[in-house]
Amino acid sequence: MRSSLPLFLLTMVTQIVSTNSHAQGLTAVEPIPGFVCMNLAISHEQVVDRSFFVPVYSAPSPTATQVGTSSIIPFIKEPFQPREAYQQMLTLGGQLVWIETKWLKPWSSPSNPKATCTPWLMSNGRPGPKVDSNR
Amino acid sequence: MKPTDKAPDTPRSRASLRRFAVAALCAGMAGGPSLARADLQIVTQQGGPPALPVPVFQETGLPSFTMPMGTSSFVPPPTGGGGGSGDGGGSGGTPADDVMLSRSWGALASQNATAVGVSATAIAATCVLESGCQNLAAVGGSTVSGVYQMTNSTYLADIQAALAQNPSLAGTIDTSLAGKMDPANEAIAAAQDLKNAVYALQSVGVTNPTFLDARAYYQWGAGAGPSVAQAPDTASMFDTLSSYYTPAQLANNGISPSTTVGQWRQTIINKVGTAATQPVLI
Repeated sequence: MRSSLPLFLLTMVTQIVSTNSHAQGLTAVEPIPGFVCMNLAISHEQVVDRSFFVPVYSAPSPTATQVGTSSIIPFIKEPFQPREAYQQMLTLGGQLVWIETKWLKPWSSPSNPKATCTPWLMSNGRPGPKVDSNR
Repeated sequence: MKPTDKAPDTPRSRASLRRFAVAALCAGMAGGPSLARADLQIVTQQGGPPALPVPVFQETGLPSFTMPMGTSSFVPPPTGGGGGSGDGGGSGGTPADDVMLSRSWGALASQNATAVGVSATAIAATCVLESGCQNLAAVGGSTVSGVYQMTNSTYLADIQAALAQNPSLAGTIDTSLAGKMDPANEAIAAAQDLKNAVYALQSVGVTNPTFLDARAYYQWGAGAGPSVAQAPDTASMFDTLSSYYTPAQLANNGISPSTTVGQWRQTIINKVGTAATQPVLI
């Protein structure tokens, strides 16, 4: 009985280590030139509200067709044109769409001024946000 | 016996030591810095057997992050265990399925998710992650409650959408807010939310989203889900979300300034095992 405790724990630890699978996540392949990360000018409440979406359009026009919604880190074509009502945007699916400028603000991490975000091509062939803390 | 007395070397004391050691090991696996912030919450489980309290990470406006303690869900099955492979003793095949199906309402929740088009394993994994499959009441002014820890607004939007897309549910579904505290009924809304996550991910090119892909949508919101799902493992989880979540909210969800997206993904895998990599839709 006395020696069974270490053996029991060793068995348990071994089982945990050996059976835990590992995340098969994405890797960043190369940066995507001509686009920058931005944030949406929306609140925490809007982020968690399932009925709230920032629409994106097929053209820079109020009559254009809505073709989707924006993620929280839109990739905006450089140079950013703050006086224009719409900005061209690269979606996470790789499509070029348009988003109203009023929804955009510069990307930042409020509590970490060293952090950076750049659009990169990911290992699955689609764009993704490469956010580095640089701490 | 005084507290300072040394316990005699009896089988009972060795069993206590063993239980303590196992509990400490599980806490070490599950914990991280945020575990110290956990509050034990009394569980009110409707129509089921008495359940142990679980540590719950509360915050306003976001589903609680809960560490299910003392269940086998921390340890994936030793074999590959695909969906419905039957390696879980007649369940959907994963430890997450086993946890949910051990509840009195589990089988019905599984059936309801399937009726919406979502895999039973995906809804079971959500149940494990959100509450340890405990029917938790809202606390602290938040509307987050139930087994699937949904806000009132999300629940109502999703339950209505589920009914609209599945008219055959009309005779059995409860679309009122009270229905959120019926776990099998809330499973319908939670399954719809996972289905919405799939649609959002498919719209950005993820053709057959897994539970892990959809998890960011469920936990962090509709707009955040695709961004997190498409981020590299090395990306900072904290800085990806910090424009929309306070450091305290992130900490309450186990995200520290040094947490990467890959580490967050791994925590999900550690908790639900092979359920993480299975498709959400059936």
